[in-house]
Amino acid sequence: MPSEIITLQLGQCGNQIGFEFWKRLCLEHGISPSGVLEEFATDGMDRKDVFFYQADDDHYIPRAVLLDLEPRVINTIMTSAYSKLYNPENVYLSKHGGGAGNNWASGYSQGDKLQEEIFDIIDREADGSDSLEGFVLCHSIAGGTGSGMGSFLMERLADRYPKKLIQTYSVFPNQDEISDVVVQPYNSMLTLRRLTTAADSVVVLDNTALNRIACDRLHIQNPTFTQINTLVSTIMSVSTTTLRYPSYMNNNLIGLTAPLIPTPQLHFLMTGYTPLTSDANLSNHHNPLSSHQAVNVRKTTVLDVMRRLLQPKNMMVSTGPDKTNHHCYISILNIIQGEVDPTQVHKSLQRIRERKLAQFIPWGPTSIQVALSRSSPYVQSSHRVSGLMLANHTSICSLFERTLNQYDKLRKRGAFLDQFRREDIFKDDLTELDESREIVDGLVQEYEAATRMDYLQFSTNRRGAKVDGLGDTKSEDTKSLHSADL
Amino acid sequence: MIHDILLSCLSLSRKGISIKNFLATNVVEEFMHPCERKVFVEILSILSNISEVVRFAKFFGGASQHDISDFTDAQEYSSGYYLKNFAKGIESALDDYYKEMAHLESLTEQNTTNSLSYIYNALELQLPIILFLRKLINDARIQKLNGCQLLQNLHVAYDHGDFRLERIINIVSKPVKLAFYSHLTHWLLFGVIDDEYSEFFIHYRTNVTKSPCDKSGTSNNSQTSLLSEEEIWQYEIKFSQLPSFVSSVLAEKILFVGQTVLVFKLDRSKHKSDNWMMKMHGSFCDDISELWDGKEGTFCKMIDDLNQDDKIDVFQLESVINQIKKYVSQRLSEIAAIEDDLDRQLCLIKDFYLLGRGEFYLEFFRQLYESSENLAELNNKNYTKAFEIAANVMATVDDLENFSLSVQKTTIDLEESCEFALFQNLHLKYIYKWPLNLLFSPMTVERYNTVFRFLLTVRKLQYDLQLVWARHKWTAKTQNTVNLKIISFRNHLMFFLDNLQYYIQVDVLECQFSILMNVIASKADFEEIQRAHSVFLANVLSQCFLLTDETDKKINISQPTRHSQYPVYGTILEIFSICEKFCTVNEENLNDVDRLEERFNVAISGLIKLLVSIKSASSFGALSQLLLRLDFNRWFSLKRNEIAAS
Repeated sequence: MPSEIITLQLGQCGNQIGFEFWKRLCLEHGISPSGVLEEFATDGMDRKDVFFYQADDDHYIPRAVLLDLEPRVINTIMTSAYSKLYNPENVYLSKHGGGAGNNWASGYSQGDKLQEEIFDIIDREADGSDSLEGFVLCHSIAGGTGSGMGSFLMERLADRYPKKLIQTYSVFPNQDEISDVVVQPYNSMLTLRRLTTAADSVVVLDNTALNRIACDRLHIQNPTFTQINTLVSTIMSVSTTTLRYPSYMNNNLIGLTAPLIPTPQLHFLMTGYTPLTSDANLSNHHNPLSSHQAVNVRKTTVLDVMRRLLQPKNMMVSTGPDKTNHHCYISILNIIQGEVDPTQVHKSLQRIRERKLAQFIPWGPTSIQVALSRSSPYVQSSHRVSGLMLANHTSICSLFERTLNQYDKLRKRGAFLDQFRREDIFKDDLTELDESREIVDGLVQEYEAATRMDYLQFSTNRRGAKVDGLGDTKSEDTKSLHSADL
Repeated sequence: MIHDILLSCLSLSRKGISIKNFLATNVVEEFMHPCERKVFVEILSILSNISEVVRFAKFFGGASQHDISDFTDAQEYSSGYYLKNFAKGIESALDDYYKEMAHLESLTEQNTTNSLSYIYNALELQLPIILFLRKLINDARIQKLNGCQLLQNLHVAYDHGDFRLERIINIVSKPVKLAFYSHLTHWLLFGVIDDEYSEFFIHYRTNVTKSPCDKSGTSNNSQTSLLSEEEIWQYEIKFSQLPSFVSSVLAEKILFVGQTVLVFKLDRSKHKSDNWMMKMHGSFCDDISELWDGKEGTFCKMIDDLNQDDKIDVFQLESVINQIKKYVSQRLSEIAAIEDDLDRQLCLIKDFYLLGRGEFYLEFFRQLYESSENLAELNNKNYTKAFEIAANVMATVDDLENFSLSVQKTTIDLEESCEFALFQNLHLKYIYKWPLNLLFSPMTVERYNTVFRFLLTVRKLQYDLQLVWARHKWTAKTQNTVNLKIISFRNHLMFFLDNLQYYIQVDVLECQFSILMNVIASKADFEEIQRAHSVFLANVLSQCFLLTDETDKKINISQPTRHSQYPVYGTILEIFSICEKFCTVNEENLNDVDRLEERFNVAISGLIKLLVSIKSASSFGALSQLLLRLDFNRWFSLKRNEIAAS
């Protein structure tokens, strides 16, 4: 099977969402927790081999590599019903088990030290596939392992596999509540740099928005990690359906992401999913809501789904109010599942265009691409039609701007820098932090510029400046924006 | 002498009338009154008319043609059973005349004194009939009427005002009708055309160049068992032979029934394993009886009843044909549903002809282009091999067992060497399962291939552009920059292809396919399914802008700029060739890219203009759907206006 994808789960958060993702995939493909294909699923026409491979004894084994520096989450997984699912050789726990202490620098340098062992696993896994298409990385950008070691791995992967795609599902921290990780802004900033330079596409999963959605849309008072992660696993599984089921388009990662990402830097994607009420009972039997909600199948139409997907409240990224109303869509891909009358697609597109429900970039042609995808026959959905939106929207830069602001506050005070200085990468100076800031700042500006007509000219200038003056002091643009921030 | 005349009245088969010589003798001068002589001449002229008719009837209708050895006009007539039967009909129509003469003769023998004028009177009474028969014969000779045309000519003469003539025409046409109905019965019930003089209105078109796969040599020997697929489609309606009382719709139905029977007669040894179980159950014992299920007697009787009528009753005929057709097509749907999952077959068609399995074709391209670096190396084998490997790799071998890809030799001159033009030589063959043969005529398969090649081209260009995208993406990662002009142009091309494909796959294929599946789900009879299927295909072709005939298309591909006749398709082809050039262009050379971009801008603004103008002129849905997708954020139309304004 071509276009295989290797999943790398890093750190506490990465392993948790990865675990939910695999649970969900097993459910959708009719694979039991121990990796055996269920009786009812033997003649399915799904493409299990993209994410799984078959061992000699016909067990399905995920193409997953589980990495962590502390044992807690991985132990939970390995003592669960799914413990037999994974290839034990692909589970890597650092020997000292002390974690990265929520420190990006620690995760990064531990990644450096452990790289041989880690890449033994990854290389073996890559050799085992016919034509590997790329890597999917699950991690959080705020902690230590997922962010630090994740950053290191992304850089190495880009070097080592220059012709493979690197997609990430990156969890952004909840900015509504005070984090117990004080250096979170540093961690985020340093990881964002790698996401900008080393990753090919980043699906942003914003904890702020996920919590908001759980509260407002699912009416859960204090959403637990499991509930949030169920949301995440839904997004991850639906965004890969066109890869996992036969379909006429978007059959591989390139086909899925290329239409969404017009220029190399603008590769941060937002997601939205509707109808959300069904999420809770889709795969998760722990959830008490499931029993009484699965009963009625709602008569949702394609237009309903497509319209709702354009509403900010369904977005899994909290972008904050857009006061000047200048942000716009660079590209949209809707993956619609369920009983869809294909004639409805055109009508919905027409309606959305007439009502101007979406604002688009002024510098190039773009449209809402609608992929009708099959869904798993083994999972009951309580809605006739459901849809996921993958969107490239300029307002995502507000997320980065917030990170910049928090970083600047911390950095100005010079707070908590000691624990970074202890690691090799910051031993001499803190230029790494400054460079990262500059690159992230450049990213914000590029997104801002993308709202304007002259984006292509701007971009040309900036890029030229970047090549000439990389590592130099801040360019004109950064200065002006910097002063505006202060 | 009177007896002599009567004798010659009865024996008119020889050329010339022997009694004619009587006029030349001097007896006439001495014993006959001029009046009598005049009557005698009249009689002679009537007799010569009758002679013509009799000689015709004897020659063609007689047991052996040796009776009349000197019938020189024979080659002026066509030959065949209809003519023979026509002659027989005429002979029986002459019975009245012979009876009359015999009556006269008996009167003469009783020595009743009758004058010459008495005979003349008797003959004159027969004259209209004789003249009428003579006219029919002349028609047949002059127009060289053959087979069904002959029947048609008789049919026109029906409902003659003259009662006596009407009776005669019935007698004449009766044997001809018999020939017609026996042909019809053979065809309808057994799918056999036993028509060596090509008289029936359905004829078998023999292949001038026999393809090697067409084993007609053997199929002639044992027709029941060995019949190749192609032969079914060589039965056609010959409209010149079609009698006016059979409408073309009815003729289509008759053709359909016969073809269905033929399908049942196909060599099914290769399908035996499939329906072996069915056979073991003993529900079907013989090939054709499987179709008729004991009903053939009933239908045979129905046609026979038709034959009993004096005339051809058009309405009756139509109703019988309709009954048979309905039975056959329902039976076919039943069997198709039992033996073969029709839905599944059509889904396979959609998956592979219409590229529903995108991932499979992605792998196909990968196999095709990653294995051989040099495009010139690509030959027929590579395509077939890549197709097979892809099937293996994608584990779709089971689904693909009935598909095979081959490269056809065609005469396209690849002077411009557009690579996608190579795809025009590809031919995807589908071995459909019995009894779906009626859905997949060679014409249909060719049309599917037209769509297939078009979609494959789109898909291929998309694949190439995505590789360019990935290359740009990876270049950017290594701190090198890619010129944004190129990136932006690439985006435009990708956008065009993506949306063209979404349009085709969702707005056209999915929509049309769901209509087709609804028809099948509604338990329609087979002919309705067949019709829905052709409508499906026609709509797909037209909405993909592919409704051009073969020759034009080939010209267009090698010269994409000359496309006055099919502007949308031509523009799309122009953009295809731009895409292809872009994928291989040297990106260092910005001028080349600029030139391509210029061409693209002209093409796309032309296309948008075209779509807008056609849209406003008519309500052709397909165009407005494509326009909506391409111009969703009004970028192309704004740009066009800008250019127009400046």
